[in-house]
Amino acid sequence: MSRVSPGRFALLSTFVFVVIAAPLAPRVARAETVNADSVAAAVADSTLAARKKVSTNGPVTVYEESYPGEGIEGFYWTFDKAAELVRLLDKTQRDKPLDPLRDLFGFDIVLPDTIRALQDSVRAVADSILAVTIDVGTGFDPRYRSSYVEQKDDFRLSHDFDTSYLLTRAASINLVASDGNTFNESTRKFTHDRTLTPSFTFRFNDDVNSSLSMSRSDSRQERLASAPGESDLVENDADNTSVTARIQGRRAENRLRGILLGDVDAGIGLSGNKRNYNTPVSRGSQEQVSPNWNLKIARPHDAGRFSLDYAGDLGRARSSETRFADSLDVGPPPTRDLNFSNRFNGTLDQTVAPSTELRLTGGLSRQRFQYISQVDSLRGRQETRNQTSDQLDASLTSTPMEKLTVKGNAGISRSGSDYDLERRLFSRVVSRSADSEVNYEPWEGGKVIAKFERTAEDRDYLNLQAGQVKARKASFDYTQRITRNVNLDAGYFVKLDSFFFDDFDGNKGDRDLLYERANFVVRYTPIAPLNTSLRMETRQNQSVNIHPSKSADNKTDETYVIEPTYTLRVGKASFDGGFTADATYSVYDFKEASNFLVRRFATRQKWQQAITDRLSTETIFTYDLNDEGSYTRSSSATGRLFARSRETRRHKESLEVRYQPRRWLRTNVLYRQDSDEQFSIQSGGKKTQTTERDVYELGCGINVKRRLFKHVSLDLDYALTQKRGDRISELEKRFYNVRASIEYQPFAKKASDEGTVE
Amino acid sequence: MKRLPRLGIRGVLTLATFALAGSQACLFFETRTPDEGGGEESFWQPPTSPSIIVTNLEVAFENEIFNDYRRALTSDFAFDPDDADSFQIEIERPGERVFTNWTRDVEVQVAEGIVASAESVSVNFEIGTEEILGDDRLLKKKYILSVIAGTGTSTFQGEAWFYTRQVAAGEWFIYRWVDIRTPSDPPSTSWGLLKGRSRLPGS
Repeated sequence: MSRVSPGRFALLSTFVFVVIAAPLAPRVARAETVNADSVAAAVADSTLAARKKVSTNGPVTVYEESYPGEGIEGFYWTFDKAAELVRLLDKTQRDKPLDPLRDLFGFDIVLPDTIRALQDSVRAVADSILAVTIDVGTGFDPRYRSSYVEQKDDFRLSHDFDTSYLLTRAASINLVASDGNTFNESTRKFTHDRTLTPSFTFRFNDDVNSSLSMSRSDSRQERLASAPGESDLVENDADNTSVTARIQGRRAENRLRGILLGDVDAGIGLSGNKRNYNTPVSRGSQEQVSPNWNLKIARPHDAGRFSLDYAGDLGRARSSETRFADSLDVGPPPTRDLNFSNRFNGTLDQTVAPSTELRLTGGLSRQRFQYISQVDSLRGRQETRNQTSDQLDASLTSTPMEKLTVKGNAGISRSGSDYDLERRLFSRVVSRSADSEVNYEPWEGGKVIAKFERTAEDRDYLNLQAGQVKARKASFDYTQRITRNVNLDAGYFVKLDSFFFDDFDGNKGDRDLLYERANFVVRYTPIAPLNTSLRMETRQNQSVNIHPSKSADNKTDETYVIEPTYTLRVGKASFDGGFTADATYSVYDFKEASNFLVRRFATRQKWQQAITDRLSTETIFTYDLNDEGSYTRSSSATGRLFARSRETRRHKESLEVRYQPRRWLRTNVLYRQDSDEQFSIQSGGKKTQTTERDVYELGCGINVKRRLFKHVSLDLDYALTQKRGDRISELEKRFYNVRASIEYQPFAKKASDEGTVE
Repeated sequence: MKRLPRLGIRGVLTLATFALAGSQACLFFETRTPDEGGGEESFWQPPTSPSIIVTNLEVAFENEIFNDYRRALTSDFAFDPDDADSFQIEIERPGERVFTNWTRDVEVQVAEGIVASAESVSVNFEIGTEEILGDDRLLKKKYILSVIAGTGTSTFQGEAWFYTRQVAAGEWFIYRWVDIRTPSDPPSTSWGLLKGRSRLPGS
């Protein structure tokens, strides 16, 4: 089989389709808006109103696709960032699990990675806001919650209580308490954590708040005895007591001698804490007093905005530690530590031309930290660590003409760490990066995205890892609506990572790793209920070790994939399936005898059936057949031959029945069977079975989400699974997955409509 | 004969840009030419089962083939230490958050650092157990890691939990590695604690 490199494959397929598709495009009636990444933080209402909603949990909503390939995993997703931020900033909603997303047959939908990444970014923003927010609260609203989670051999039980009480309209006292235990039956690890935090908040006026809080936390981790005669072992034991006082203020539109300075946020605080810890090898304590401060200035100007952020702290600490060496206590004198931290960040946003935005950001950080070192040194035990970090980034976004957007980013950063005693941890890293992206819609229904990125990192260490790392990436994606029923996606991606070590013979790891991928997918909807697609892909993974002692392992893996799939909706039934054929050739540069070929044929068929509004089933069948063997040529004059040496067959069947007698109650029963066989193949084609494994699984589950009384709500997920078969561990033969929580909020302002009586 | 519609100036410019970019792009992605070695075995086996990918990782680590070590891990790889080791590292390196954001690149760099500081390393995994987690597999294996340096041999013991999943062509790769500290006589430290001590700042 002649092989085509991913690069040539990508150029050829794209050229062919662009030439064919472009003349057809003007003939297509004006297509609906294509949202290529299928994630819209704020999608036009008219677009969403026309879509069929499948499921929602509040911030995330899932719709059916308007045309195949529009979305991700067969669905069109939207994520409401503003709603998610509001939820995370509300302490009564923040920790509540969201409702699961389910398809039209009631089965769970898995969140794609793009949505998870958006959720994580919004959570990071919420956490940063909460960290500097002083909240007086809205009244007396105690809340108690207990939750229990059991997953196979892992157990967690936690209790949480929080409340605030308004003394006056401007002052409140708050109390947060939590207690949690975890235990793992396999590792015998047990942990116990408790935290108690009372606080007082006072609002001077709308712009100035203050708080005083005290916190006490205890944690303990043990390994429980697993056999008679053994004793429990305390792995660590720690407590921490802290007191924090803080004033935070804000003033808008400040002026100095008539000159606008901007909005100012400033705060000052003082914290003190004492920490004690015990481990099997040491016992220690640290006490620290630390004033801290922050200042933020934000100033808008013509066609732009400037902001400056500064935060700093200074700490005086005293640390002591005793190590248990042999039977003697060995304790150095306590150290007196001086720590400080200063961080500056500046941002300039500017519209430099019509449809062209520029953003410059810069940051500077200096930190010094002292502590007791674990290293024995004639210079004593006090370690001093100095850390520096500088960074400068620029980004430009421009829309020079309709349907063309160009983005560019460039950055440089430098970071370093210096240690007085542990010199081996010294580091200086300088990074430079640049990337660009072009989004272009050259004709109707077509979209091109081209990206290019380059990074270089200089690593300066006091060991053999000093050197340079360089990376280059490029990608090209083309989407085309050919007709109302035919859609094309083509893409090409290439990445080269190169490692250069200063001592070529000392560290023999100099290497290059080249990865290329080219694919195209054609989607066709011949009739409304039937969607089909054909995906073809080729990948090349080239591993190049430069040093002669390592280059024997240099090889190139080439993978070729062809995958037709279909989805058919008939009444209350849905069928989807796919067939995959792929082959991976591993060809060594210098070891012809080690060449290898792995081939696979696989199919997956799924049938979902809604029997009634409350009863549905899902049946899945998969079959995998793969073989492998050497792929070598006997002489330079002949082609390579495939000599099969092993074959693996695997098939899996599963059947799940879901019954939902009430809106707040779901039950399910699941049966699964998993079988695989391996054969070795001798010359002449004779097969001998080497392994056979059959596993049978039966499970049942119940899910309840209901308000039991006016102020008490229950959330329960319970599943029991039993397995039989070959090489099943004792743990897997029978286990539970349980998640239960009960919440009591006697003065909740409104009752939720979850699970109310029908 | 029916004439084909013209592409138009935008279409021609688009095609020309693609062709030019494609032809020039190859120059940026050329690999270096290695020096040919000889006589060594090659170690990578096609990972058609979870146990083979763990063996590939082990062999790549012992033989300092870090391209293969990296290939055994998925792009979303994460490492989780034992809580006790995490606590110990927080005492030894306070404020550094050593185990935070432990990606595949960090894992490879730390493995390189461990090997670079030693004359040789040797890992022995016991057979262990394999659990089915939906479509994934969890392999639990006790290990003994020996790091031989000029000052002597250091031994690290514990249990490694490898979460593996099947990617294209039926091959298995590791997406999560959990290290468990186990009791031993005499007491020894775990591979996870060694990793925590070996990670360089800024990596």
